[in-house]
Amino acid sequence: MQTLKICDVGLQPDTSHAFHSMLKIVAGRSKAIWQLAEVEHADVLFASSEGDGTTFAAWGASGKPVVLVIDDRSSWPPAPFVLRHPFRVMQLLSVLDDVAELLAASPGRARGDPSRWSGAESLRSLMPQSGNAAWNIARTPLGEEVWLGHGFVRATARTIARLRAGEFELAAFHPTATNPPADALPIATCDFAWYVGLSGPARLAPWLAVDAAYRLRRWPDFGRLGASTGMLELCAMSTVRAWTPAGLVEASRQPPADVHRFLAASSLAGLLVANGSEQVPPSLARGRVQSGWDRFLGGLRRHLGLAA
Amino acid sequence: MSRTETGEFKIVFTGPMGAGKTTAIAAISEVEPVRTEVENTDRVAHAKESTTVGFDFGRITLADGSVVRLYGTPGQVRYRFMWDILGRGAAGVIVLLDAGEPGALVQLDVFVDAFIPHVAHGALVVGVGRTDAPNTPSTDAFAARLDARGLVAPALSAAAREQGGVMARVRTPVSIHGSHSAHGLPA
Repeated sequence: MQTLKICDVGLQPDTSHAFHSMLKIVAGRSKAIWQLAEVEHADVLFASSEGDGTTFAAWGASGKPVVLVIDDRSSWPPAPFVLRHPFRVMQLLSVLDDVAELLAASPGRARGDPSRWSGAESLRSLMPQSGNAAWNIARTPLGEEVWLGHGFVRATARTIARLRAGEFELAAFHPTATNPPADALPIATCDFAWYVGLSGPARLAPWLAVDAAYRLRRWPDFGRLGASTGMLELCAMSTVRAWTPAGLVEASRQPPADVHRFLAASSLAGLLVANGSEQVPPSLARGRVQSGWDRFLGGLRRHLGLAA
Repeated sequence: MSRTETGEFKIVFTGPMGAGKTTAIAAISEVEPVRTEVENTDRVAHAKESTTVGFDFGRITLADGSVVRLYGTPGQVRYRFMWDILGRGAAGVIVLLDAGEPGALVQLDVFVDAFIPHVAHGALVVGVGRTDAPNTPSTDAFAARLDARGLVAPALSAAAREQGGVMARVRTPVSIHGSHSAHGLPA
């Protein structure tokens, strides 16, 4: 059974309360498992027909379904999923099942996925001003809050731990007048950006070009960030020369998702150079490969757990 | 040369006095490390009780029977002649620095200059300790220093001298070597 995330926006308080209560009732009866989510993470929007136009416009661009809630004075709109308030549980269940069937029949429809870069993209646009004395805030699907501003990102220790573990999904940042709580810990913006990139969708980040070649201009601080064996390999390769994303996937023999996330993380952290020179950067000593070197290298790599 | 006549290879730990070279080798060596420490008579340079005057030595045996020799250099410039002896033929060089020591960025230059001629394939790694101490340069400052020299070499925080951290530093030059050999060795 598929799990679908739904977000209600613009509903009157009594309608919203009824919707939340009914969602609990339909649990186990619907063709999908329904979870409440922030709008940035939702697969389905449950919205008042009188909701704000900005939300509808942004949602419409995503191509994801909307359940439109109209009041008893409105005429029936030309939309596929409509409920008239007040509605009953079985009406809600019927509409939600119709939506679930639609999404189940459209496996190519990237449920939630397109919007998952929204947090990273907003972070990317805000990073040049991250030192400003103003706060921006973003939320995770679990409702955790992350503040960006004053030269740092701040979040609770639990949130930072999840971030480091790669279990992180972030909605877009937006300005806020509130301050982070006293127990929010600082994390360097570039470190935060690195983890956000690694937590991203499996596909290439939208700001990276499939036909561009990229190389690292500087190594990440793996002493601070931690690194898998695969990540070390990708970094080492990307300091040797520039690669297209597909070229790096092929040469590294690593899963495309890992390579795409590495590129996103490097880019967000400001370490990636686009269309870099294919030449090796000014290097250290120009040593020759010694006889037997490959055997040594293979052995050492196996010993250290670096062998593919 | 990267490989000695006996078929063994070396990775060199270097850096100024008190940076943790002896400790790092002891953390990962599979044999009791050989040490050449004597009483430290240069308390101006560092307050530690003893210091290496010859070299430290440890060893890792690989799965295929190959042996990697781990060498630690003396930190004081007056023993520079040992740097050249130990650096010759190194498969990788790990420069350890203490960000809390005055002039740590200058020390970076000193040791990079000294070991660049010995490092094949650009396998040089900088490990920086105590970057979280107040008023100390960050790891980024060391990375920027490498950038300014046109070197794309990793500068890694090295807060811990535990086995995992040291091994991580050893893994990095190995990855660099592998990539340079497979994908574009500098001519």
